[in-house]
Amino acid sequence: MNYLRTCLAKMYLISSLILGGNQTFADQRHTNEIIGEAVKENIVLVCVKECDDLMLSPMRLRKLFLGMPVQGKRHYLKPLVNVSDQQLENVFYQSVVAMSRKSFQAKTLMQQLRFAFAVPKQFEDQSVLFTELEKLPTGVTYMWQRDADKIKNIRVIRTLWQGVYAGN
Amino acid sequence: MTKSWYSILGVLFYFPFILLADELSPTIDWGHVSLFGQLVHSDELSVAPGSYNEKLSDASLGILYTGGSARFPLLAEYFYDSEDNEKRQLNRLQLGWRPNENTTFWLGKFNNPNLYWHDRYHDGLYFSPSVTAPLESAIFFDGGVTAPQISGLRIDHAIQYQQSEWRFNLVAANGPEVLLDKKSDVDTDDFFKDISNDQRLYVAGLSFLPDALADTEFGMRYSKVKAPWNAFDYTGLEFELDESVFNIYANVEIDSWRFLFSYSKFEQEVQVPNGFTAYASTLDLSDPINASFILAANMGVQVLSGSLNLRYLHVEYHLDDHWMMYAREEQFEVDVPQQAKIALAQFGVDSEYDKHIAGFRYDFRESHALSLQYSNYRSTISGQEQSTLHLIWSFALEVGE
Repeated sequence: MNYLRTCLAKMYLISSLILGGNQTFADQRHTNEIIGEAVKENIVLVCVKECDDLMLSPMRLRKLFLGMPVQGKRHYLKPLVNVSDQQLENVFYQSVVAMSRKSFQAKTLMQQLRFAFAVPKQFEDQSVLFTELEKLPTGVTYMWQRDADKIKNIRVIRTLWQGVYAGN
Repeated sequence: MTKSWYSILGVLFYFPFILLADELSPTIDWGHVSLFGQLVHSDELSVAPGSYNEKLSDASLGILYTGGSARFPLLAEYFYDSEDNEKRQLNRLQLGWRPNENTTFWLGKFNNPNLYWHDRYHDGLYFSPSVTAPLESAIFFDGGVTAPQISGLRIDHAIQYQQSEWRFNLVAANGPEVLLDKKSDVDTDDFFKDISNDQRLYVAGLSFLPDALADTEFGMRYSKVKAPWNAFDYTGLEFELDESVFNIYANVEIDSWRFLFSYSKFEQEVQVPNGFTAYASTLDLSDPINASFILAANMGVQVLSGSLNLRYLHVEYHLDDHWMMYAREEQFEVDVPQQAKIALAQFGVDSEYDKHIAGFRYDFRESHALSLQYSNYRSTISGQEQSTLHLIWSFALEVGE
């Protein structure tokens, strides 16, 4: 029974990611309740160890990853978008910026045109992202918890998403 | 030293601030270039009596550079038009200072923000929801009454309350040499033109966004300008204009629908210069174009005043991620008695007209779009009509991405 429940939960989660519905934080909590013990992986928001203590509400986090200026204690933060696997990319569009890829591109480009806001840099190669993050005291990104655990000079700000790692 | 050199020196002086402010970055970010282009083909389906059918093709490209840092942003835009030499120019050059995330000071040349559509959609033609801007000919080009770009200081400030946001902006700029045959207030050479004169433009704006990260917005703008009136340059006299513009707008997005309403009122006063009566006495009485000058001189008028009303309602419906349909109703009206409108019509001046447009747009690939638009212009005084079909391909590209 437990096995069947886990399978159903996985199918629900993967299909929701593929279909690209607007999954909110409330939806995620609901999903996590459904999948119960199948919760195996977290996606965490991280910065380097020496970064400012960050209090990023969902609204400010969304602003940051939409390319709008968001200040830490002293400096403006730099969002690094992790698209190194399909699931991370889906979680970014659905849970972080809460819009489709096309709307995200249009909004960031329009903001660049009107206000000179920088379009957030995207990383397809996670090793390049790690290198960039380690050099950037103002950088903020997200990754799987198990990857964050492997890097020494990194601090988890908070858990961004909980779910099942579907593999790539 | 020319004024272009002052512009270059200004930008060079600004760069060290960018580098100092970005001391935490391991590498220097030299900025980004984006291209916004469009190719338009226009075919006049029906024309006013005395005119002839025209087919026009026009290509234009906006080259946008953004650089600097979050604290000291830098923005420059050059516009190229294949058909119109006067439109080929440095449209914007803005040096910014962002002391906190809700406040930005801009110094340089930027879009005149006195009207919502112009502030939001003038640049990046790919993002414009229609092929032509509302009441474009009445406001900006080919007989327009305000300058599309101005140079000076702009302050943007936002106050957030929960999910919502209040936005304020203030502008103090050089009084633009407005009007009629002028495309802009300044050439590149005039970027740092003499600011000791008493010609000034002030704009104040206030808007409310129920969701700070969405596009729904309600707002108003008020601007006041004192500037030379170039329309009567041929007289050899210097006319000066006092103009105030009030614009109120609502941009509402509900699911797949978008409704954009705007109402603007232009109040204008032109000071009659010394020597006007003497000039009017030399004019040919039989030429009807001179009639208003001669009449004004004979009546001893010191100030020529008038006002214009402009309003439009733009409606969009997005069928899916690719297809969008839109329609707009525009109205232009000069505030004068009906008899005066009829008299103006005899001189070929349309003092009251409606414009209806309808079109659809197809978005494809990453950032390309094809639009087909039908426009119908009708003078409500003379009854003359003109219909045009526009086909346009527009795109946005990030260079080096």
